[in-house]
Amino acid sequence: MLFNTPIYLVFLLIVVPVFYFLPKRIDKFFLLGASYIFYGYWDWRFLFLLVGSSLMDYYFGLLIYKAENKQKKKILLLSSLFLNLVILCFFKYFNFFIDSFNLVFGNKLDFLHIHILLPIGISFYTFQSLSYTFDIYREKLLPTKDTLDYCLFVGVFPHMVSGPIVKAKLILPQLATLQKPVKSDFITGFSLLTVGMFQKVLIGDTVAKYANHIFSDPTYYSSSELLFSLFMFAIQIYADFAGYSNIARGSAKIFGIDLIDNFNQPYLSKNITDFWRRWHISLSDWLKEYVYIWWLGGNRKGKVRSYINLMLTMLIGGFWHGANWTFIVWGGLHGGALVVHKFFMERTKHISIRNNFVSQFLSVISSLATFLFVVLAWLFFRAPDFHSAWFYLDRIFVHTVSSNLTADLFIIMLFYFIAILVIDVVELKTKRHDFLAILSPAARFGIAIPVWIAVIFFMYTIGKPMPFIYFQF
Amino acid sequence: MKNILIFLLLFIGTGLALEQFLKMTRITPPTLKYYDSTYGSLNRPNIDYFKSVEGLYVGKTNYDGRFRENYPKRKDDKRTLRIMLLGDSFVEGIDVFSHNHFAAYIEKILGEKLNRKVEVLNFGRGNCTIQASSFYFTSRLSKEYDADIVLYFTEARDVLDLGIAYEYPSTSYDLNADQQLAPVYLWKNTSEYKIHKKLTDNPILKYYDNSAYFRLLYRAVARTKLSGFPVLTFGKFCGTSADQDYTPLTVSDTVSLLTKKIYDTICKYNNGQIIFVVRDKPVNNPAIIQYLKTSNYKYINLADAFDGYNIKNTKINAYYFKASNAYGGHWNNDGHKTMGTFLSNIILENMSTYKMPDYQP
Repeated sequence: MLFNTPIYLVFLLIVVPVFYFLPKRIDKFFLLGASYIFYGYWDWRFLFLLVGSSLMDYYFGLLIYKAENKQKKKILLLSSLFLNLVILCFFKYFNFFIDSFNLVFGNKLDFLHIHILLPIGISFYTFQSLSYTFDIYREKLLPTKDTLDYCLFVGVFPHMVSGPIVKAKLILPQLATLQKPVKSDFITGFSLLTVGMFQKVLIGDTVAKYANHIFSDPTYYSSSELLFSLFMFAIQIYADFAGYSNIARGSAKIFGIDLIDNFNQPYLSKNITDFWRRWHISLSDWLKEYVYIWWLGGNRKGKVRSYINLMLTMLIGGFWHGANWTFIVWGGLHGGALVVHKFFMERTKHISIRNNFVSQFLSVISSLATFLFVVLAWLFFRAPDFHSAWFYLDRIFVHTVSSNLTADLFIIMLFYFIAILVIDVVELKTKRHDFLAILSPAARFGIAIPVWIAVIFFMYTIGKPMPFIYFQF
Repeated sequence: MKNILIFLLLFIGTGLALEQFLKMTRITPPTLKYYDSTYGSLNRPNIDYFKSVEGLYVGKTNYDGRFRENYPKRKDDKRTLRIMLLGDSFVEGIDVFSHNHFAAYIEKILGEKLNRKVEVLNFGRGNCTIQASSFYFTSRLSKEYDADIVLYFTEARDVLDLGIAYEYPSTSYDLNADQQLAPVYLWKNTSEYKIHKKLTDNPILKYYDNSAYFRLLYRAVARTKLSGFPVLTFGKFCGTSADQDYTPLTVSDTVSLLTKKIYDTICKYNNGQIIFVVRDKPVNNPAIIQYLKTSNYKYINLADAFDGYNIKNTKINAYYFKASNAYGGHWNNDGHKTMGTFLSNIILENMSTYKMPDYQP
C-alpha cells in the first residue's frame, strides 16, 4: 500500500479507531495484523519472507544472549549476519554480481541471470533486524521475550518499508510499554501527516513528472534544461523521502509510537559533514554506529585509517541503496567529500575568522558549494548507468540552444524551491517538523484544511500514484 | 470570534498561497477546450498548458489554440514555403515539446536544404477524425492560411461512419438526404459540452477554470463520471492503469461513402496540393491506400518510416515513453525525429511535381 493513495487514508481511518478501542495486548495483535495487510497489499508472497526473517532474528537474539561464552556468541552473530546478508544479496544483488562478473570475464555467467522481484523494504527491515542482534551481542540490549513485540518492531507498518531505520534499543522499550495514544499524539501525528502529504503528493510527485521525462530522454533537451531537471530531481528526492518520513512518523505517532527524525533541512547544511547529519539521519546513524565505529574502528586507529574507514562506510552506504555501480560511485563521491572536509577541518581548526561579515560570507559560500555538490552527485544516483550519467553531464556543460521551455522550466523549478524552502525555514525556526502542533486549533486547521483539500483532490484525480523512490531500496 | 477570524485568515491565506503554487508549477493546467457556435470545440488560445500522461509538454497555446508560436495568417513572400498539418493527436503532438515535434524538424531540414524560410502550421487536434477536421479545414483554415502544401493525416478510424455513435468534439461533416456533405453539430449532445454549458451558464461557476482548486474539483467529478466510483480509486492498484498492450491490428473496413466524399472534397482545396499521410498504427486499414491510389491522390505511407514499432533498420522504439512507461500511445521524441526526416525527404524528392502558384522555386 502506498502512503500517497486514497486507500491509505481509508486504511488509517479504520485501523486507528479500532486500535484505540481494543483492550491492551489485543491492540498489538491487531496492529501487527494491520501492518501485514499493509505490506501484503503490495505482494502477499513476501509476507512469508518478512515473518521468517523476523522470527529468525528473534531466535538468534535469544540464542546470542544465552550463549555461554564470547566465542559462541560470535559464531551465532556471524550466522545471523550471514543469513540476513544471503537473503538480502539474493533478492537485491544477485543479478548485479552476475553482471559485474560478466563485465570482467565476458558473458560466462549470463545463463544464471534470473528474474527476481525485489521484496519492498528488504534493505530497511534487514538493517533493523541486524541492529537487534548486534546490540544484544554488544550487551547494549536485552533480548525481548515477547515475539509479538519483536515482530512489531520489524513489521509495524509506518516504518517497515522505507524507514526511518529504527534501532531495536530505541523502539522495543516503547513497544513493551505501549500506551494508548493521547490527544497530543493525535495532534503531532496529524501535523506530521499534513506536512508529509504536502511534501510527497504536491511537491515530490508533481516535480517528478518533469524530472523523470527529461532524465529519460536527455538527448532532446538543452544544457540549461538538463541542469534544471537535475535540480528538480534534487527537490523530488528530498520532498519524496522527507515527505515519506514525516508521513511514517505521523502515522506511528497516532499509535503512540515515536520514530526518530530522518531529515533536518539537509539542503541548508553548512558543509558535507553537516549534510550527513541532516540527510537520512537514521541510515547515517546506523552506518556510523555499526560500520564506521564498531566494525571498522572509527577514529581509533589513526588519522589515515579514519579516512579510509569513512570512505569504506560511504561506499557501503552507496551500495546499500541499490545494486548498481552508479550508487557505489555516488557513495564514493560523498565519501571523498567527507574525507576532504575532515582533512581540511583538522588542518584549519586553529584558524579563526574574527570578522563577522567574512565569517558569514564564507558560511554562505560553503552552504552553496555543499548544495551544488550534493545536486551534482545526485546525477549518479538518478542515472540508470554510467554511460547515461556521463552523457547527461557532458550535455550540461556543452552549450545548446535554449527554447521556450527553458524559461518555463526555470520558473517552475523556482516555485518548487520556494515551497520546500518555506517548509525548511519554518522547521528550522520552530525546531520541529510538527510545527502545526504548536499552533492553536483554529490556526492549525486554517492551514491544514486547504492543504488536505488539494492533497485529496490530487490523489483522487491522478491516474498513477508515484511510488516512493526509496521503495526500490 | 478571535478564533474564527484566525481560522478564516489562515484558511484564505494558505488557500491563496497553494493556489498560486499549483498554478505556477503548472500541475493543474486549465481546461483545453472551449466551444465555438460554428466549429464546436476548439483549443483555448493563449493558455499555459501542461501534459504528462505519456510524454511531457509544458508551454502555451498560441492565439489559435495551437501548441506552437503564433502563425502569421499570410506568408511574408513567395520564397517562403508554407506547409499545413492536419490530423489527430499524433499530429497535435503534445506529448513532446514543440521544438522536438516533427514540424520543427521539417522546418529545419527543408529550410537548410532549400535555403529559405519554411513554415509548418500545425493544426492537428486530439480525437479529431477526418470527418471533424475537414469541416474546420474547408470552411476556415484553407481560406485563412495560404499553405503551399497540406499534409493531411488519415488513419483507420477515418473510413468508418462514426458520426452518430462517436460523439465528435467539433462540427463535422455527414451526408444529407441528397448524399451531399453537410455540417452536423453532434458535439452539442456530448456530456462534456453539457457540463461545460452548465458551468458557464452559472454566474459564479463560469470562472471555475481560473482557479486551480476548482480545476481539481472539476477533474475529480469528471473522473468519477468517467471511471466510476470507487473501483479505480480504491481498487487494489489505486488507480494505476495497466500499460497499453500495443498489439498491431489490421482491419478491412471498406472506405465509407462519407469518407470518400470527404477525401474528394479536401483535394479540391489549396490548389490540389493535398498530400494524405496514411498512418498504419495503432490500426492498419489497407483500404485507405487502395482508395487513394485508385483515385490518383497523393499520399505518403508511414509504414515506410517504421519497422513495426521501431524506427526503420533500428531497434529504437518510436512509441514507447520510458518515463511514464506508456506503450503505444503516440510518437515519442525519437518517433518525431524520424517522422520529421522522413517527411522532409519525401517532400524534397517531389518538390518539382507540386503545383504551388504562391511559391517561388
